[in-house]
Amino acid sequence: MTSPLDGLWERIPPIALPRHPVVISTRIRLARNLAGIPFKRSLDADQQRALVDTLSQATCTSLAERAHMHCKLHEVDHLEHQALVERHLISPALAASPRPTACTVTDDEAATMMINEEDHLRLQVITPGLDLTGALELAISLDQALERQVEWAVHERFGYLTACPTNTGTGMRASIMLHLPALSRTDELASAFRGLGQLHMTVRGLYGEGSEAIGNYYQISNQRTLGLSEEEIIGQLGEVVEVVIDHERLAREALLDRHRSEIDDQIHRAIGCLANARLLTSHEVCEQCNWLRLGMDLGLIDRALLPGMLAVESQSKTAHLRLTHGDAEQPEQRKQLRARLFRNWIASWPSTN
Amino acid sequence: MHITEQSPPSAGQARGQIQSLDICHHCLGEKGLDDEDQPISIDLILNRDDPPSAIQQVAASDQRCPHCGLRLSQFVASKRFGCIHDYDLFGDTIVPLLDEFHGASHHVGRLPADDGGAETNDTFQRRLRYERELQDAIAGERYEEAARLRDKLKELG
Repeated sequence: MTSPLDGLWERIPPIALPRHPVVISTRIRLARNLAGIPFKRSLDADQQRALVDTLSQATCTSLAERAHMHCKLHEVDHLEHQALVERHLISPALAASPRPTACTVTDDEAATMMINEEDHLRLQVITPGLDLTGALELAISLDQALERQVEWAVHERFGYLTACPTNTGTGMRASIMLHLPALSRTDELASAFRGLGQLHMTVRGLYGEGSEAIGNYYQISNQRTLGLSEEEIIGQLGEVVEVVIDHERLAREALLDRHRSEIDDQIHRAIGCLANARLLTSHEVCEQCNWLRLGMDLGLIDRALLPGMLAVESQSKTAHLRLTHGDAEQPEQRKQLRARLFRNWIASWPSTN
Repeated sequence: MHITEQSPPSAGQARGQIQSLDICHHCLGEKGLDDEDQPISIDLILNRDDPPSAIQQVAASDQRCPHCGLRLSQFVASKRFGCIHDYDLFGDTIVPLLDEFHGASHHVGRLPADDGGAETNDTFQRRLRYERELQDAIAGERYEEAARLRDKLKELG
């Protein structure tokens, strides 16, 4: 059975070399609802199908001048939903929804329009590195293109109306994903994050179990969407993130100054593990790549290896493996495949590394 | 999902109180908290966040939206509106909630340009009407009418 997503999983995601040693990516999300149409909780099955068809057409038309793909999620296998989540193209909530849903994604994977999620439409823009202004400009231009196709529910007092009032106003959630291995190691995260709550910012550790975030990835987001303009929101978030970045930079300098041989050893142990392991779990990949990323940021490993690492990381994720390899149904098979992918990648490194 | 929260330290303390919680995404969804973009807290998950007293008082009278049928008590429980009219109907009541969460209750950001695509919203209504009529026609074995409705849906795209 063919799928509108055929070919996507073998394709290496477009990866630009991140311009920042601490910030992984910038994300802007806009929540929108059609005027005159009830919110999610009040939509019956017929209305949901009509919503999906209407917004599918509108999103594709709005992206007519940009290469894009469209998929009605209830018409494809759940495994492809999972792969879209792994690729950060849709939210876990959309993937798991039993309702009719859809997504329209630009071919460069910079923008996704999720249909019938928490709101009628969730527009997401992701850019590498720290680029709140660029991400906001793209999000607004896509929103304006949509506004030429549809009429959003807007209130003169409350702004863009959303199902949950915590999203109303701008309907905008701006987030920065950061890599904070030095602060995590020196137990200084609490002081770096102190006061974020009073500034109406939230912090999430990503991919975590227990009290630590695996891979030392953290996401800082604005909480307020009402009473501030879009520019004020990204301005405040940018200021907060710069303080955290400074903390991480100082912590990395101190780490190199006092524990260089230990850090160097840890980084090269990670290379050794990925170069030789015969079985790798996703957890192990995240942990070891965390060290490789730090090594690249500290100049101990060639930074030009980063796009390759990100590509192999993406292809080694569970749903991607199951979609691209016929022998990846069992966890043991996937551990072997994952290990082989990384061995092959490291074997391709220039000898200077 | 695992959440660890640390409250600010009290006077004389080196660090604040730490509390932790593990919860699966299924249970988060049942509480209406599975939106990954929503701020989340342990108090919110354990329903320790009490709505402002103004909302509690009005929820006792339990006003109901004539458009979507949502009662204010249902909104207080789920924190989700049923339609855009709920903002006007319950607006004065939720203003304390907005002030508490956002620190404001007036939008100051951008708004759509005047030449919005209202036609597409009419298309939604026409699509919905044709699909319902199509189901009726098929159920009533009025196949010529069903074919005509299917053609109309195709024209909508």
